[in-house]
Amino acid sequence: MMSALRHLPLSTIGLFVFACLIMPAGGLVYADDSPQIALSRMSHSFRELDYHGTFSFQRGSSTESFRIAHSVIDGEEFERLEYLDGEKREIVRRGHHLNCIHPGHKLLRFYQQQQAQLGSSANAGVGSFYEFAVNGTGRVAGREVVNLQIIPKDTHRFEHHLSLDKETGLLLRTELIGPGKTVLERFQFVEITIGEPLAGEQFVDAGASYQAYHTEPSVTANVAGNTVGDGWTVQWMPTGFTSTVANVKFVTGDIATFTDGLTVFSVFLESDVDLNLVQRGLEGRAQKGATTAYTRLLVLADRPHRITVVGEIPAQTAQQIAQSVRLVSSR
Amino acid sequence: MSDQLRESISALMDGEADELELRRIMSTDNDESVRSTWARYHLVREVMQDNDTGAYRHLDISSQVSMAIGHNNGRLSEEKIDQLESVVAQKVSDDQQKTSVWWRPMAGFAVAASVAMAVIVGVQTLETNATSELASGFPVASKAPMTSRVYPVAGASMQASGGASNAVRYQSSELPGDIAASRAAADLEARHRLERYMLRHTERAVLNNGQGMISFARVASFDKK
Repeated sequence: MMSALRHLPLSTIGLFVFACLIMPAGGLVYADDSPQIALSRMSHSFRELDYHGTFSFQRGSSTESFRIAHSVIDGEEFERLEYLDGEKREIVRRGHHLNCIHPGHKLLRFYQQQQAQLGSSANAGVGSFYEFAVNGTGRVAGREVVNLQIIPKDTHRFEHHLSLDKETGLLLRTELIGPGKTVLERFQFVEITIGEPLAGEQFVDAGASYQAYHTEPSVTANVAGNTVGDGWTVQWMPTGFTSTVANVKFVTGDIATFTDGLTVFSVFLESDVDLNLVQRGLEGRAQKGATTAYTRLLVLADRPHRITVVGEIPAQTAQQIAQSVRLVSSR
Repeated sequence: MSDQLRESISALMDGEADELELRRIMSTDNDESVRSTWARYHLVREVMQDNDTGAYRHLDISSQVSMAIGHNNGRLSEEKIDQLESVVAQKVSDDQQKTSVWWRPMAGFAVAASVAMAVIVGVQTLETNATSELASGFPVASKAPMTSRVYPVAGASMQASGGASNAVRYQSSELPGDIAASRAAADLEARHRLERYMLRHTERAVLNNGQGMISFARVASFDKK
């Protein structure tokens, strides 16, 4: 009976889930092979497993190759991404603690979705904004995969096609699909080794490395001096997006990032814009694969500000978000 | 162009032109300068205010509309409207095809969603005017504010995708070379700024999109540190 569940519309599953939960013995919420469980596994596996391999990244007519390595050493993640084409460069991140859970992870994880179904969580899971469908099985990088189709319920996000490793839940192939079923970008592992840890020395700076910056997932209560003062907010964004930094009332820096668990966008605000340099345009837009950058000038508090929205979202959405930025003052 | 004419254009822009002023603008011999003044005034207003109507500034549907009217006794057939819409849709889709270019100035973008509607609005307004003129026997100047938003703006043809370059062209012809140079600098600055933003966005995205490090593939270049 459980395997038949995934063919039912999500709302039906929701009803069933609810029925399960209000029953005293209702323990199991989703079938083991349901998309929700697969996504939840994905959100754990890419952080918690040891793996290394090569993958290709396609957008438009260009294809690039990368080598990735990921190991967990004493409960901390060690990661390296090498660019195999063009100028030699790599990105390294060391010592990201597994207990450091970011808002985006939570949105994908099982218990969060369970909470969302019960309506008891402010942070509703991805299930509220996307429809899920299992789309058969296949083979990627020599491994058995389950194909997942994730279709947004509104026009503010792109469609995702994911291929997840059957055994571990690791993401082996992903496509972002734009309007008209165009493939905007595609990641695909060519070969991958799972379960063979690499030593810490493998992640030592090779001289051409960029150390990825880590943003704390939340500000602690006693540091939250962020409740009074000047800052800014984004007044409009599609439903389901939450700040990647929890517990902040408004933004005091120049960047704010929002996630719905699968889709992420960032908003940048610059004050003191040199008007001589902005003659060229009040608006600008860039597009590369699934990534949109939209920039415009807004006069806020009688001074020109430059607002830029960058993210894997449609251009129209980025524009709407940019226009809704407002300054706040709560002195 | 006379100051009087300029004032009339300004009044029309503000929706305050009377019948005489409207006639003055319509009957001018110097069609091209009226168009460019109209566009420039809008540009100025856009700079001074935060104004979304700038999205239409470069959009010239005048030739299409007159052609359509000319061919069809002042009435536009459904077919013609469809045709106009498909022209627009084609331009917009051409625009979207060029998405591999990282950072280009944009004005056609905002138009993409609204341009088809603008065509319809414009056409219907002109049609209404034509009808009431016939009915009452004299032009209805009070309709001017409504028609003003679809008046001839710039260039010879509809420019949905090429809007940005079109708008810039006016300025270039009037501005000294050092400003052109500062524009090139601004372009370069904009590209670098965007690359920095892209890196910072991705640093946060890899922690919050459930896919991790592979998302860094989206960042083409970065400064080593």
